[in-house]
Amino acid sequence: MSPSNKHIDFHKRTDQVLRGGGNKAIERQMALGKLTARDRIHALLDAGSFHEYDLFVEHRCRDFDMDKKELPGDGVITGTGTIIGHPVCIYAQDFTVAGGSLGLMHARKITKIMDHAIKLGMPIIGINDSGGARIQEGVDSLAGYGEIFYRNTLASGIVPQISVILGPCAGGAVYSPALTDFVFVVDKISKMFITGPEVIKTVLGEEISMEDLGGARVHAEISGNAHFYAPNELECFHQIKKLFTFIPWNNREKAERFPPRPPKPSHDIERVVPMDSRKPYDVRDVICAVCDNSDFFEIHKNWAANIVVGFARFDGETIGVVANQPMVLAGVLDVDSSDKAARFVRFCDAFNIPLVTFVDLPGYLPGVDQEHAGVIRHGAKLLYAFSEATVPKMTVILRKAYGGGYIAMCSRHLGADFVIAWPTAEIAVMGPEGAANIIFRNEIASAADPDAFRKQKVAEYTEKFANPYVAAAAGHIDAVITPKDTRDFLIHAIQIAGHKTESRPVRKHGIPPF
Amino acid sequence: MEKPENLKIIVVGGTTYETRFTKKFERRVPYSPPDPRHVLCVIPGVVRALFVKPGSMVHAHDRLMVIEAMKMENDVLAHRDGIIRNIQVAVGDVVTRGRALMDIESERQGTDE
Repeated sequence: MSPSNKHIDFHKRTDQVLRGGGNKAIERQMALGKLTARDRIHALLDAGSFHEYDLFVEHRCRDFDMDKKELPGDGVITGTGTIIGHPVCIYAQDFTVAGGSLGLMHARKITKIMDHAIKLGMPIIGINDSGGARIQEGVDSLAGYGEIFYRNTLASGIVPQISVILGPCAGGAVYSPALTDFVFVVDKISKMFITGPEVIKTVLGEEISMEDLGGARVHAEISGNAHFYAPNELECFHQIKKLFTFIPWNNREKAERFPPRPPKPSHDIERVVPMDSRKPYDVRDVICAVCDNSDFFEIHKNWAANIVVGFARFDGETIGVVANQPMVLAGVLDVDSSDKAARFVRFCDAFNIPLVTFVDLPGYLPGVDQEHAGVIRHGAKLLYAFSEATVPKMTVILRKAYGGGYIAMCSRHLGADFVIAWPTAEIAVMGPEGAANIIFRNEIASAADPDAFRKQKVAEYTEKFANPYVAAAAGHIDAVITPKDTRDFLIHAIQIAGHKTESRPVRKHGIPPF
Repeated sequence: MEKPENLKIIVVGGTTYETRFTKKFERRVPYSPPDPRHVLCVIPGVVRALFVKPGSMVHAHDRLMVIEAMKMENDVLAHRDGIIRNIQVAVGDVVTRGRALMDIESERQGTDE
């Protein structure tokens, strides 16, 4: 072959693979409202930044006439590129090639790019769109999955891992996303479940649609498996790009610092929190009134909304924010909200992102369902995560901080570096009603007018203990600060905690209650 | 070998297995699709105020009632546009989590199952 023929041969081979599963399969993909794997990569990465790996990889299956089948790229596209200048490793399963099914070589392409990411300290983005294991390849296909899960675990806390579910992701395949840090889903396109509707019908006789079982909304609102929900793929990519502005490339770096910007004047911190501690409000208004540009990037927006978590910036620096949400379920801690916040706190700690916690909660949600669902062990996750975190920890008590809830919300006792309270704070062992009922139980029972006596005792208890000064007198909090001084205090605290070091006893790893 | 008692049948991956059930599995409630009309109680508490009557027209996010729970006054908001029907609670009632408080009938007939 002459040199020019070699070039022609190269272009011919390349073009053939780049066509993926062919025009018909691509048309079917588009008809479902889905972009192709290659278009997805180009839409997500900076223009012209994608460098593909392993374009010419072929499957090696010889059973079931598979040796006669060509599967371009073995159904997955892998490579490196940049997102707003940040280098990332990326793979996208190609549903147009054998339904994006995962065989050994398909998996090897993915694990190669993952190894690369771990070694070079680059985030990993996985775009999932696959019918599942390539059954013809048998146990080799399972080996492929296992090798991916193993690397997801090795990469955890080393580089950020992002899963984008843009098609089916069922059976064992769901465990790669589940091991990663952030899962993105898109309305009507994402489907995730371990066992599908047909199996459930056969085994249990329960009928349910695929959408109601494992659609995007289900995972964004009910199961909590998805962190971000978008109405379409392009909006989803926009969310991913925004996330990348807040997080570092790996656990040895800090997130990029942005020029500081004041909160927008429309967010008046003096007017958000009602004095009456029984009145609800949206705690996101507090966050937006103190963070840069009033820009709060919320995670898990529609799941366990009684706690709010997400990223914001203070003086240009990325901060992880955790806040009770009095507007939803009175802001209680429960199974899901503890789980949600604990996971987020561990992400922030792993990636050098300081934590700011806003506290206003009445305690834990009462109920048989909660106790039987294990609120004890799930609630313990949050205590563990806050105690374990060695990044700077700032806590602001806005109003109610009662009992176990007070301890759990990054109190001084769990190692917070700064704890401040607003003058409206009520830091006490429990709410005045409950406390008076216990302390004065006998006196109330024997009083001439028990109701009037109880009310009097509640009022006395409220007067004496429903404030920040008892805790301040004991040194459990560092300062009582007005709402309008809060931003300046937090910026100061973040600055002086910038070089915080905290050493812990040497151990292989802790054993969090999961 | 001793033959285990109380064996039940379970099908996993198309194969039938004999096994025992866990207590939790035995008590599980089969899935039933949620009624799109129901306004569900999300927090256990006491009804403190009702702002609608049967036949009231409401829009999504309108305030329907207040449930006092966990030392807080919690607003219950309409989840969709429609007409209030079948109010099942009154001021002063203790309500449990998950129960239907009232229905919102969609104005477009025939859209509900």
